[in-house]
Amino acid sequence: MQKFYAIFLMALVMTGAAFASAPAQAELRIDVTRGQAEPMPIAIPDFMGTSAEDNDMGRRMVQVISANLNRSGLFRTLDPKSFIQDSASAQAGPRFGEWRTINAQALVTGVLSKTADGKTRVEFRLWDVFSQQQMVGTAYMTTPANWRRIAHIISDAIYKRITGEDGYFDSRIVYISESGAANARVKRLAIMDQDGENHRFLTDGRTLVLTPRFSPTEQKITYMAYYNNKPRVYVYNIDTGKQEVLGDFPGMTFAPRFSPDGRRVVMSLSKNGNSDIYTLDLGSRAVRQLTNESSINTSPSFSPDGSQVAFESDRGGTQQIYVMGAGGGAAKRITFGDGRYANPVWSPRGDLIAFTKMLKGEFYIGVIRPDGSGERLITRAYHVEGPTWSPNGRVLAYFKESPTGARRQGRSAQVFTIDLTGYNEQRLSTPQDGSDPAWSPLNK
Amino acid sequence: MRVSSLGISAGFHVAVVIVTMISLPWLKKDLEIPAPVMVEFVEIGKVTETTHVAAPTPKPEKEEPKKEEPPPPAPKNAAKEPTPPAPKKPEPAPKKEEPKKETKPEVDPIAKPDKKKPTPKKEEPKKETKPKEQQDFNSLLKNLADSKPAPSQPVNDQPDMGLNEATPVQGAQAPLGAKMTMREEDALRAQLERCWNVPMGAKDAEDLNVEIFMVINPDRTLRDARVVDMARYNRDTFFRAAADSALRAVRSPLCSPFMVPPDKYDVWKNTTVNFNPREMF
Repeated sequence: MQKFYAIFLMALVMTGAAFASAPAQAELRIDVTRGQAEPMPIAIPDFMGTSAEDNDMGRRMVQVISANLNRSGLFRTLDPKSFIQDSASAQAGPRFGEWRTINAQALVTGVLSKTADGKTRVEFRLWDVFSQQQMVGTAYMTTPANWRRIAHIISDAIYKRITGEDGYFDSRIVYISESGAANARVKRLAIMDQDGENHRFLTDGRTLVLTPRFSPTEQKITYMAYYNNKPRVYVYNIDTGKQEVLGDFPGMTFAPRFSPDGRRVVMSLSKNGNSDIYTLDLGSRAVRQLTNESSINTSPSFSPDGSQVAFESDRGGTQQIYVMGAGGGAAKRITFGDGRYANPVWSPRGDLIAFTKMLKGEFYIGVIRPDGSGERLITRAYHVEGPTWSPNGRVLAYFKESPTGARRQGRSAQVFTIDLTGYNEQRLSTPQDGSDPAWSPLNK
Repeated sequence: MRVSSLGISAGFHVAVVIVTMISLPWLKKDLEIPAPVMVEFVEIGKVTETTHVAAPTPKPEKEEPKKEEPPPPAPKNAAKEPTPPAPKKPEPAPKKEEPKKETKPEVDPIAKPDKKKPTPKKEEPKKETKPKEQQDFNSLLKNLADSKPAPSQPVNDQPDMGLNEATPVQGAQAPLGAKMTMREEDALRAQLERCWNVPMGAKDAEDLNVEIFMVINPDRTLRDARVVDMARYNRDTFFRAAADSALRAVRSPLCSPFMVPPDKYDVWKNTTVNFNPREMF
C-alpha cells in the first residue's frame, strides 16, 4: 500500500514538472478589424519589345490595362513620371526598393517578342513589391491585331490574382442605341467592349428593338423586336450573325432572360390583363408555366445555380420582388420597403439581387440579398433602370435618362457602371444615346 | 505483489487522468492572450488615446490635394477611336482569333527576387501619406436610403503621440517581460489599420478572417510573416487575396518599424495579428 502511495506521489510530482517545464511561450495577439479602403497603388511601366512596332504595341497595351484597372476603382496606377527604375531594366529584374519608394504595392512588367511564324508573344509578370515575389507570370501568343484583347486578358489576370475574383475586362456590352426625336426614336441594337471600344451596330433601326439579354454561356442574346406591330422574342448569335424567332406567343411577351445553362429562357406572357411567368426550352420548345395568379408577375431572373427565380409581382397589393423555386410554386416576398420594386436581376456571384426602385417620383438602383436582408440603394436619378451584372458579379451597368430641352420635353439616355459597393459610378461613352445595357459573359 | 501492481496501475491511471485534465486545456490556453492586460489598463489609462480610425498624421508642409477617387481615366481610351456609327445590317462578328494561352507561364529565373529577408530600408523616404479623406467605414457600402448623407464620423486626427518617431510608446520603466498595456496594443493596432488596404466588396468579405504570425526583430522591424492557415490559402482564392492584403500590411514601409515598446521585446517578438474586416461592413 505504501508503494501505491509512493507511485501516486511520484505521478503527482511528474504532473507538476510537466506544468513547470512548459513556460508560456509569450505571444502577442492583436485584432485588426478596420483598415483603409483605398485603391491599390500599382505601377505598370511600358511593355518593351525588340522593335519599334513592338514597343508601340506594348505602350498601347499598358494604356488599356491601366484604364481597365483604374476604372474598376480597386487600383490606382502610378504616374510613370514617378518611376525610378526604367521600363527596360524593370523587365530584366525589378529593383523593389525603388518601387517601394514611390509607394507601389504591385508592379506589372511585360515584354513582347516575335515568334518565327510572325505572331507576337506577350509575356507579363505581376510582382508583389513588399514581399518581392512574383504573383503571376503568363505568356500569350497572338496575332498583332489581337493586342487589345490580350490587354484585357492580362487585366483580368491581375485583377483575379489581387482580388481573388474573376475579372470582367475581357467582356462586351450590348445595348440599345437611340437617336432621333422623342416621338420618332430610332432604336438599334449595338455592341461594344466593356470599355466602350470596338463599337458596332447589330441592327439597322427599321424595327423597334427592346430588352437585349446576354446568354450566360455563349455569345448569344435574346431581345424583343416589333414585327407587324407585334412583339416577338428573337435569339441572335453575335458570332455568326444568325437570328431566329423564338416563337409567336399569345398575347404580349416581356422580358425574356436566359437560364444559367443557356438552354432555356424565362419570360412573362400577358393575357387578359394579368401576366404570368413561363420557361421555354430552347431545344424542345416546350413551354412551362411557373406562376398562375390573378395578378401581374413579370421580370423573372434565374439564380446562378438555376434553382430559383426572382421576379416582380403586385400580388400583395404593391409591386414587390419575390423569389420562388425554379419549378414554380410558393413564392417568398423579399422586399418590404416603401415605394415600388421592379426588375430583379440575380448576380452571377449569387450573393445579391439588383433591382429598380421607384420612390417619391425618383428612381433608384439597389441591391438586396436573396433572403431579403441587406438592402442598399446605390444610385438615384430622374429615371434609372435596367441593371445588368458584370460577369464576375462585381459591377453593375444600367442607364440613366434625364430630361433635355428648355421645356424638358426631350430625353437623353446614357449607360453607366457602378461598383457594387455603391462607389465609382462612371459613364460609358457611346456614339449616341444608350439604354438597356446587357453585359456578356467573359469572352471565350 | 498483486497489491503493488494494482497500485502501480492505479497510480499511473490517476496520473494520466490528472495530466490530461490539467495540462491539455492549459496547453491550449497558451494561444490566448492573457486576460489581465485589460484589467491593468483600465486602472492605468482610463481611455485609450488611440482613435480607432487612425489617420496618418499629416505633415502639413507636404500636403497635396488628394483626389479621393481614382480619376476616371477611362474615357482616355474610350474616346480615342469611337467607331464611326456605321449603320450596318446585322453582320456576323468577325471570328476572333483565339489567343493561345501558354499553359505554363515560363518564369525566367532572371527575375527572381533575392530571397534575403526584406530588410526594411532604414528610413524609407516616407512619402508621407497624403492627408486622406477619412472614410466613414460604416458607409463603405453605400446606401442612399440612409437618411443622413453619411456624416463622416468625427474622426479625430490622431494626436501625434510621438509614435511615428522611433520612440517607445511608454516609459522605459516598464518592467521587462511585462504585458503590453492596452494603449500600447492600440498604438500597434492603429498603425496596422493604416497599412491595411481591405479588399472591399468581395463575396462574403466579412467572413474573411486572416491570421498572420509575425516574428519581429529587436529593432522592431519584421523578420518573418506567414499566413497561419496555409491550407485555406492554397485552395481559396478569396482567402488568398485577403491574406495577401494582410501580408502587405505587415510588410508595408508605413508599418516599419512597428510601434511597440522596445523594452518589451519578449512580449511582442512573436505576434499574431488577426485581420478581420468585420467592423467595415
